[in-house]
Amino acid sequence: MYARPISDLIHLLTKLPTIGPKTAQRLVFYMINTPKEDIEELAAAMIALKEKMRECEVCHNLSEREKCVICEDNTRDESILCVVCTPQELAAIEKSMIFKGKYHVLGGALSPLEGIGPEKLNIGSLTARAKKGDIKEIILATSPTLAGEATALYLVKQLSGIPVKVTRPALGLPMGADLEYADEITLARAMEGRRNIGEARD
Amino acid sequence: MPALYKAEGIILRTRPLGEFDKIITLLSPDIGRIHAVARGSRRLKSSFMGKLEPSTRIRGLVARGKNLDILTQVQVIEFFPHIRRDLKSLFASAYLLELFEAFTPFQENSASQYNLLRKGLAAIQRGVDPEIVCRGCEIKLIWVSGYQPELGHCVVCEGSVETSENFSSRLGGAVCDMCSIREKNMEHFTAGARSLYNRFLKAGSGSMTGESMERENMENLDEILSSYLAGIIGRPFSASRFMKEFGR
Repeated sequence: MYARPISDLIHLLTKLPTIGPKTAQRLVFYMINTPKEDIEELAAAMIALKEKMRECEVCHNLSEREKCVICEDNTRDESILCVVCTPQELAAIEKSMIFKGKYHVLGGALSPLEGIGPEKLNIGSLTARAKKGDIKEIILATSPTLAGEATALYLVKQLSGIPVKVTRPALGLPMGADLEYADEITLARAMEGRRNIGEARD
Repeated sequence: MPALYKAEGIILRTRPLGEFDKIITLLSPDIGRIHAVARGSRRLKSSFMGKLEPSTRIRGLVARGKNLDILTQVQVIEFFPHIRRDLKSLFASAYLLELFEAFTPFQENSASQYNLLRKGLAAIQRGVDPEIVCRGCEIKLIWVSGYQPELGHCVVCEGSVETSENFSSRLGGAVCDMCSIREKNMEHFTAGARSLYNRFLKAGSGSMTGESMERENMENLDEILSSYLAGIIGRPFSASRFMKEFGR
C-alpha cells in the first residue's frame, strides 16, 4: 500500500512497546513533514544511546562512563546502599531527593512465575560490595509485589552472614490517599509498621 | 454470558499492559480461568492498588470487552500474608499458582480446582510445610483433572505390578518388570513413595503433616510427580525449580 521506506519504518516502529500499526503510521507521516535536520538529530540521538550507554561497573546503573555519576560523587554517603531492581526505580528515588547514599541496580526481580532466577541478576556483585566492610546498611527497595518480595527475601538470605544492617522501606498508605479505599494488605502493613508521632517528627 | 458479570476467584498471574494497566488471570469456580484488564491499576492512587496481587482471593465485577474483559470493581475476600514472609512459602505458592493455571480450562466450570487451590494456599498460610502442601495439591489436581496415572496394573500388558517399582511418565503409569526391559526412560517409583502417594490421595489437601514421612520417599515422589506433570503439560514448571533450589 505504501512505498517501501514508509512501510519499513512502520514495521520497525511497531516493534517498540505500546506502539501499534496506527500510531506507527501517524509517527511516520509526522516524520515525512518534519525538517531533515530534526530527523537526523533524532537518528543520531538513538545511535548515540546504543553506542555510549553502558552499565556502571560498580552499581550497574546506566552510565556514559565506567562509573556512573552517583558512584563518582564523593559527597554521597558510602556506608548506606539502596538496592533497586531497575535504573527507572533508581531515578524515582533520586527524584525524591531524600536519599543521599549509593545504589545497586539488580537488573530485574526474581520471578518464579516468569522463570527469572538469581543467576540473571546482579546479586554476586552486591554481596561482594557488602563483604568489603564499608557498607553499614543495605536498604532493599524492591517493589512490594510477589517478585519484589521474593527478591527481598532471597537477598536477606544471601546477606545473612555479612555484618551489615538490612532494612526495607516502610509499606503503607500513599500521600493523599483515601483510607476507605485502601486495600486490606496495605492497611495491615501500615498498621504493623505504625510509629509514634514524636518519633516521626524527629 | 451477560455484558456485566460477577466473578469470584484467586488471582493466578498479573502482567503489565501499557503504562498503567494490568492483565489479571483469575481462577474462578464457576467460569474457570479468565483474563481481564484492570485499567489504571498500576497508578499509585488506583483503588485497585494492592488488591490485585497473585494468590489474593477477590470478588469482582467484570464487563465483557471486545477482546479482553474489563475488571471494574474489586473486593478482597481473603489474602494470605504469611505466604510472603518466607522464601519457601512464597516459592511454593508461586508454584501452586503456575500449576493451577496450567491445569484449569479456559472459561469452564472449575470448582474442584478452585477449592483445591484455596485449601492449599490456606494450608501454607497456617504454617503447614509447603512441600507437603504442594505434593498433596499435585496429586489431587491430577485426579480432579482426569490425568490419574495407572498404578493398579502394567500400562503396557495389564499384568501385575505388585513387585515392580518401574514407572513411565510417558506411558502414564506403572510398568511390570518384563515390559520395563523393552521400554525406554523408566523411572524408579519406590514402594514407600507409592504408599505415600496413596496416603496423600486419601487425605484432605493441607491436612497431612510431615510426621512419619521419610525424606527419601518424599524426594522420590517429588521426582515422579515433577516428571509426570511436565509430561502432561509438555514443559517443566519454572516455579518448581525455585522451590527446589532456593526454597530450602
